[in-house]
Amino acid sequence: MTPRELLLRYRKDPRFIVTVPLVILAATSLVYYVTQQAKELTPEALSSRLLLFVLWNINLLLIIGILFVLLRGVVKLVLERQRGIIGSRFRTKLVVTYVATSLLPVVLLFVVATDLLRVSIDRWFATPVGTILQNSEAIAQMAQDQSAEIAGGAAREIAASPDSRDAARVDRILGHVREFHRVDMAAVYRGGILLKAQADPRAPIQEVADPSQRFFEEAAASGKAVKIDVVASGKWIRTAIPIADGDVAVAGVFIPATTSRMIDRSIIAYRDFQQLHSQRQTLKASQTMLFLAVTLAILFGTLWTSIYASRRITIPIKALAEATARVAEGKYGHRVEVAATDEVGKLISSFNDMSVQIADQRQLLTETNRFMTTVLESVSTGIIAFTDELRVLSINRAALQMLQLGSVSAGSQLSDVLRGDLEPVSSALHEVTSGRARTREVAVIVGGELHYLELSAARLGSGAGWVLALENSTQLVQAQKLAAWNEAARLIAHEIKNPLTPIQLSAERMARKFGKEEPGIQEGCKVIVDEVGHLKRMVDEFARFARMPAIHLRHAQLSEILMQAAGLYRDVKPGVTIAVDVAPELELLMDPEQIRRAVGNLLKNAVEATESGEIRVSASRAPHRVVIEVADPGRGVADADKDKLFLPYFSTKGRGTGLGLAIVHRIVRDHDGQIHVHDNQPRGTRFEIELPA
Amino acid sequence: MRALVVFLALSLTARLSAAPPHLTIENLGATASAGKVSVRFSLAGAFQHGEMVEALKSGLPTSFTYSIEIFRDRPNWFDDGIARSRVEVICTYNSVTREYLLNTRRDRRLVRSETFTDLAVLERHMTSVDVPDLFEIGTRKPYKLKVRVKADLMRGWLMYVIPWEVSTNWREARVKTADGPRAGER
Repeated sequence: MTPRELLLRYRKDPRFIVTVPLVILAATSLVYYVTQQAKELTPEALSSRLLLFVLWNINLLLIIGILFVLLRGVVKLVLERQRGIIGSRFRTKLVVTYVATSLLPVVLLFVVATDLLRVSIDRWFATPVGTILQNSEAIAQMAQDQSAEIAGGAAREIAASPDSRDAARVDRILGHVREFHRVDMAAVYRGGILLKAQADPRAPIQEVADPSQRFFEEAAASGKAVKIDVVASGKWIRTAIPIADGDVAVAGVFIPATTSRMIDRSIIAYRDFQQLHSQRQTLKASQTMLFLAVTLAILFGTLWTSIYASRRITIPIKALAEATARVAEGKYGHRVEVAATDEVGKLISSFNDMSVQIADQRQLLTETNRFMTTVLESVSTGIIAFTDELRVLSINRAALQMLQLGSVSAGSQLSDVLRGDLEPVSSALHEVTSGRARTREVAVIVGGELHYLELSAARLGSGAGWVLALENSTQLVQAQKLAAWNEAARLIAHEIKNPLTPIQLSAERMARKFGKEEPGIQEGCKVIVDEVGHLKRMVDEFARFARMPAIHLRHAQLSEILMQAAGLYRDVKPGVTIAVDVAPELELLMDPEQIRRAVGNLLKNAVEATESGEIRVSASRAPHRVVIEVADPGRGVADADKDKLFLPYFSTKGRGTGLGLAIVHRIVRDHDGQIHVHDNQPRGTRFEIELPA
Repeated sequence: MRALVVFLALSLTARLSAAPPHLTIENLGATASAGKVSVRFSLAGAFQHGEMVEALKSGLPTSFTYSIEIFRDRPNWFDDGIARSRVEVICTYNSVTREYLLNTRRDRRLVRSETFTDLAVLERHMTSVDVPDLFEIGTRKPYKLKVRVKADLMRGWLMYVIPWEVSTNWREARVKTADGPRAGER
């Protein structure tokens, strides 16, 4: 596993996230501890380039780390806010609060602490210790200068003496000078090589080497040179004065170790102080950087922790908000899978339970709705649900068929749906919804046929709208009307036919008795007899209609029946032809006599209504039924008459009984069929008989 | 606010990049002879810096680092670097013996170690550099070559946190042949 994979794997691990800042803090504390221990180190160590380099790089790394974490967090927060991710605003507030509460005190502490440190360092060098050390060093240097001056005086006397140029007498002048000036050594060098020398036997002259050539050159160049040599037993201070021709007089004073050590200590102490003083800026820098490292480490840790803590808090809230949005979108049962243990955890648990319950309720509601839909779609009663603003909520299939509507989308205005021929339904709807009537029966022409619809409306609830039930009572009304006409026919036959025979007989007798004498009476009696005969025939028709025989069903060839019926009216009227189009094998369970009579009645009306043209008789099989059509190119039937066309005693011919189509309607109804009248195209009338097959 | 930020940024940039006006490389000369180039120059204004003298007197090792480069001058194009060298002079004062120990290193190798008792002599030795046969140029034409020199003196601290170097600007001079006129400066 690569380091990147390891980082990606553990980057969200709380232990990792907590451990990293702790390790950083521990490392910083260690650096701080080591540096504190380094108080015993020399200023060179404290201000060493290595320490500064390490501190500088630690600070740089921490600054880069902080900037990275901070910028990354800020960029992520800004992007989340721009994308409208839920919880980003809350997280922004949390991070800003965390960072502000940690940043301000830490930065303030850093500023105060570093300023205090710098002031403290300045105070070190402002104390009298510096003056004491400086004076001490000056005294020590003066002591050495004094020795150098003594040696210089001696060397100058040697150089001034003519004996110093005479090798034979140089010893005398050296001895004299050593005695007189109380120097510990006196010598003459020629060309950098010792010519003669005398030294105090107590002084360790053997411990010091001859001066370098540069020493003599310097003496020659500047007229004097001083050399201080530290040896095991003490310190030699030698002064050189040029004589001439490359000869140099050198005198030296030996300072014993006890004295020289004190001198050296004073000098070294002041030197250390000077070094410290000259490095005070570097010391301040190193201490400031050390504080900065600790501050940055604390900032890094707090920043990391704040971002992590804000994420820990906002992640469950974000998940909850997202889940709520999902549920609002309709994804019921959506669960929050984020682990949380505190109050947010309880909230998540409650949300999950709620979501599951909503999903269960939704499922139950869906099943109930599906059941209700199935019921509504299967019932023969038309159901329309609509709002108080008369907008359609739902409409079942029966209602669509009843009103001959293709499809109605939810939200459609009922006034737009119920228009034209369906206007009466709309009017009745207003009446039942306004409370003026609980139910209303309306007659509407749907698809060219008269239908009787019974409307009843019920309130769904406060503001929930209405439900309208449509019951097609056409057959019931027609049956009621037919029954009434049957009864009327029976009464007419009974009440009218009885007096007709005496009337006829009386008229015939009057014609026989007075007709020969008075031609007018003869003629009047003939009219009476003829009209009575007409009335008798009409009454017989009524009687037959009232006493329609029960049908006797058997399987028969429909083509044969139709051909026989057509044969009766073929060539009856010039210019009118009859065409039969029926499959020979079309067989049907029916009463052949009654069907022949029904089709015959339709053909009789068609022939009478047609001046010229072809009357078409056809039969075809449709799903679960057989359809017989009789279409003529005659004068047609007005829409207003279609309502009453199948009622007894309704005729548009003026002299008919009006029972032909009523008989057809009764025969068809006795076969559990239906008969419809339509306008034929381009003109005329088309009757359509549907018989169950 | 924006103006303040711009001002601080410009001040910081100027502080980090600009050399003190009195600190310059002077008398830069480069002479080619027998395929080798000798370089000499001097540093002016180094000991006008109070902190420098104070640090020197305190006994802390004080160093000047001279970066010397030789290159082929190509007008309107990038220079073609040939070689570079680094000369360091490090001085340590012994206040007990009152001697200045001056070590000279070339390309990190110690080439000379000297002792001085006179500060003025020491200053002269630290600021005057004369390096014979510093660069090998082979068969290159000397008049097409230039040398440039820069000195780094000490390190300071901006706001005690940001390090900055006290350095001179680069100084260039064209390489002259031994029998020709003296190297000019630019």
